[in-house]
Amino acid sequence: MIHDSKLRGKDIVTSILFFILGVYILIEAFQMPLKDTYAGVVSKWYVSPALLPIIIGVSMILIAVVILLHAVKNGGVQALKESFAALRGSKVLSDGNIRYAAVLIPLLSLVYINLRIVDFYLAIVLYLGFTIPVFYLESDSIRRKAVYFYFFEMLILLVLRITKLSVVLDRVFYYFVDSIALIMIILLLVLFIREIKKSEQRELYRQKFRQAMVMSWVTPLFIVIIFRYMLRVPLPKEGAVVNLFSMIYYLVR
Amino acid sequence: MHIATQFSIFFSSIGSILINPYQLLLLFGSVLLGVVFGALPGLTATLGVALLTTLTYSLPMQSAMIALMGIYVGAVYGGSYGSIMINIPGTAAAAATAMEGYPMALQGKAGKALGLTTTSSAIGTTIGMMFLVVFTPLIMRLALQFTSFEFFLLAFFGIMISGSISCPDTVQKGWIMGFLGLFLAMVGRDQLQVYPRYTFGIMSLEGGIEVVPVLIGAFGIPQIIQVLKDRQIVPEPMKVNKLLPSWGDIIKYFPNTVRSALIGVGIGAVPGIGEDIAAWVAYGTAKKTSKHPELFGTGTEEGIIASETANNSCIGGAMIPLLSMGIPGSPPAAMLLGALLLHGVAPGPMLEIERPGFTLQISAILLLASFAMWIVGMLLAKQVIKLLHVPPALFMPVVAVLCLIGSYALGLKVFNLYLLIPVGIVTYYLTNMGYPIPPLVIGVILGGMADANLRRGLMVSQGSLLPFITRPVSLILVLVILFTFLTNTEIYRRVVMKVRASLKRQK
Amino acid sequence: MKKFYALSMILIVVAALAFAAPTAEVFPSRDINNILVWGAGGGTDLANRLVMAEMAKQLKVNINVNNVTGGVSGSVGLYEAYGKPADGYTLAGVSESCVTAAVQGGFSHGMKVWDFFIIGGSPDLVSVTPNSPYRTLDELISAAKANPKGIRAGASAAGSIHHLNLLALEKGTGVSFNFIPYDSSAGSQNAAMTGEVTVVITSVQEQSELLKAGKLRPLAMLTPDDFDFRGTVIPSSFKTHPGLSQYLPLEQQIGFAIRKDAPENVKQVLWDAFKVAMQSDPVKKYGDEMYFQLKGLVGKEANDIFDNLESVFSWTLWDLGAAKLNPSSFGIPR
Repeated sequence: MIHDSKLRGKDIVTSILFFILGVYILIEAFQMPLKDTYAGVVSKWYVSPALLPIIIGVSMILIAVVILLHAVKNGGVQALKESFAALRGSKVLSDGNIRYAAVLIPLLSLVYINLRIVDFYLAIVLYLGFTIPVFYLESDSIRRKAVYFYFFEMLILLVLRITKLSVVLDRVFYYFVDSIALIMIILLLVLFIREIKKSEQRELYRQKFRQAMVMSWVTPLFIVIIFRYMLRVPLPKEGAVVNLFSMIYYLVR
Repeated sequence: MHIATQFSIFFSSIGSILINPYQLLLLFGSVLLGVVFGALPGLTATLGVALLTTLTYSLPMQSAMIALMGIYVGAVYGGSYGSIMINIPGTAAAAATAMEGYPMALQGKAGKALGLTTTSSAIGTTIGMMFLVVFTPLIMRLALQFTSFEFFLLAFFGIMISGSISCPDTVQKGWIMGFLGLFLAMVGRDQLQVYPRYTFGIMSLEGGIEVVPVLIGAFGIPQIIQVLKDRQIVPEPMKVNKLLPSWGDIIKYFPNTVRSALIGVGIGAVPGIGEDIAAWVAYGTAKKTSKHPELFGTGTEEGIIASETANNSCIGGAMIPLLSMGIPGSPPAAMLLGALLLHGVAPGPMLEIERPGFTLQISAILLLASFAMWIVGMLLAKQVIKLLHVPPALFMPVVAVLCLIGSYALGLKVFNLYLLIPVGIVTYYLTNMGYPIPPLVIGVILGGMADANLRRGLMVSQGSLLPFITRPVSLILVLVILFTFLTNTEIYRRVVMKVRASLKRQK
Repeated sequence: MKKFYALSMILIVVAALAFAAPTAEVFPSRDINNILVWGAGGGTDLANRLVMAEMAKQLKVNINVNNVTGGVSGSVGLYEAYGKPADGYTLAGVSESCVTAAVQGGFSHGMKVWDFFIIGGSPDLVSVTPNSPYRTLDELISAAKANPKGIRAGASAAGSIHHLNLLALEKGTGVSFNFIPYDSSAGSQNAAMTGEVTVVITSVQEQSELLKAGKLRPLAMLTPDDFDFRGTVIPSSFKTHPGLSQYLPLEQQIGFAIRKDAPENVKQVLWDAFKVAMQSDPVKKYGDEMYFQLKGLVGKEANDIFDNLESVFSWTLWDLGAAKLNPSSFGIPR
């Protein structure tokens, strides 16, 4: 948690946001059936689906005001001004922000892009094969290069997903998008290996990278086996690798 | 039935399981599976029981019940692993445990915390079992006092108490998070008139926002961001010699344990609410009655004991209405009811006439399951602590993947993951600004119940608010809520200060 | 050397990819998934799990039951199942309540895209709490006539099968109750236990334990025939109130469905396995214990039942003003 007086500055922002949410909740609530009969239930005010939303909206507005007043009384305005001033001086692509991007970009692209269009196993390797080495190596320069490259790769997949081109490509060759993902994984691997060669702590990094790779390739294997074949959960997209597993599974069984 | 025959049934069923190596293996296997299920974020006790119902369909009834009770007990206990080790509760029932367990792990006392949860879970399960055997009729009469009004107040109380006890900053922040959770629970078709609220025309939202994506999003994602981005590191645990709590500790915390178990049994017996609420109410009560409430949130042993005893004793409580009325007391118990029906057992008032001694058999299995859980837990805890030696950068991304696939596996909906991520990112910022997460999650869990029961109660009373204060249980709840509210306001503090000052002056 | 490694890796993977491409096969050669649109532990869930386990014995593959809940009238699960290839490896576990999915804006394809397998259902009845003064349906109806909207009747949420049965009872007898909706049948029965409602409409199965214990007093069946409940005959409401036959019966139909455009030979295999499963002892025993009327219907017979339900449910909701879309826009006949 942040320091107390700084916190009051942020409280001003959050309480205003909560206030707006409260108002929105109320506006929506008053458009719900309040008096007319709906679905065979004779509506009075106390039956309306709007009853609790109104209570929630009003309470949220009241509490938001209390938090706002408390913040203003305790030096929130001053703190807010200071944080704005500090914000103006900071760089967008600072090491800290690159770190944040390195957490979020793979997570967001896994959930919103890859799970649906890339084979489950490959999607997970694409996630872990980036996230684990990027943080385990703890080198700001390697991380920065990897993030730029990964961002570019994800952009391609995003375009495939949005334009529905992935569906068209998969029709051409059943595992087209999976192959693209595999090539992306390999390119990322090459990038890491080259960067590690260039770096000063070559030996340490090489050893760490090996561990990271074992982790990124083997754990998804276990996850697929446990979830797909033991818990029998159909995976979001079963492509090249999962189908290969299934074939082996049905042969062995 | 005569007491002597009851004893003989109880102990003979214990004996018959103990001498049967196959059933013993089944018991330990399913408990272990349950612990793994509980510990993995997203996979819940309900899902575990559902899964084993299908898998044990071809087994004889007693073996199937051993497996099902085993996984139930194991999963409720297993949730605490995630809470203590990585601050991501494996199940909603273990959310309260994270309040104290993770700070303890940060102090290098992860081993001690796991030892405490294991022992208090076992004690809790056993106490719940005893209530199931002895007090079933009495508890049923109490549980039937709960009509729509009481359900609404109970839901409201749950949100309120989690808001006021888990707050690192001013208490209003806890409450506003509770209301935010309530709002999220309003999304979707309402339960009574099926009117769509706040759905933005998105079809997937019409069914409402499920608990698991909010739970995992709100606890899991901020933790993953914090560890990776802000390099928050759990220190290597101190060398653990003994996981077992000492007899001195057990005696010292005895009143707390019993009180929490009573809360667990009581809440378990009320239909429809389960382990999660039991843990919070017990935790809150432990804080209110503690000599050092200010230490709560910094890794107190009392807090862990309270929540873990309560969530496990809830199992016995939930079995009470299940076996005596055919009404499940908690969500996993609902699945258990299904499993019993599949095996041709119809739980209800006629159960003891049609199958004499069935309740005692279940109690015997429950007792054995709690022992098995304790043994598995003690063996497992030492190994699990070793995980803390693995660098976080290696395993945190794997935790992220497990969070996602776990939440997906429950209901097979990728849409839940679409929700999970924004919930996680928003709560990451909110946590950093001193807003507590637990009330948000409790709000989502209880919101639907609060809404439907408030309106239904008013429908029954034709809009009159009088039943709130004329019904005895309802009146008690109203008073408790008012008390919680007042003790948390400025005015109350000022009045107390003034009274104290004037008392001093008079002296 | 490195390049050689990379190249051979790629070659292996490409070979594996080509190898793993799906090929034509005999049905069924892998596990079947039943996407069940309601929650675990409910009536639809249990009956499906049981029948699936019996069918699995015939088909010699596993049939996994996955609960995919949410949306309106199970629409999320319906879409999930409909989105899978029509190859017979995906079934949808459904019940009569799914038929409103179209008019509620949930599942736009409606019921016409499915071929149904009907396991059966438990008939609905009207019961009252034992401390209430009503001994017969007649007494209840005349009391309700004297006091419109004065008697509280509980049933599951608006638009559910039990709610529609209550509506039919009201229409057929010309009375009106104070309808209190609950989120489930169990909820409405609990409410009767606590005295919150006087009248309950749920199925025999759901009430059976309470009836046995005398905690509910059965008044009349909402089906044309009397029902023999463990030696006690519950009379049909049709005899005393002939007006009901215009609106009733509306029966629970639990079963599962396959996409209509699935290959005929695949359907035939499933039909055969289903018929055998319905004759198996565990299913029959379950039917007895659950007070089910086991039907075992497939093909046109089953589809006609669901088409009729879709029409009744959709238009009733539309007339109540609770349907989102006009049934005629889906071509649902009145």
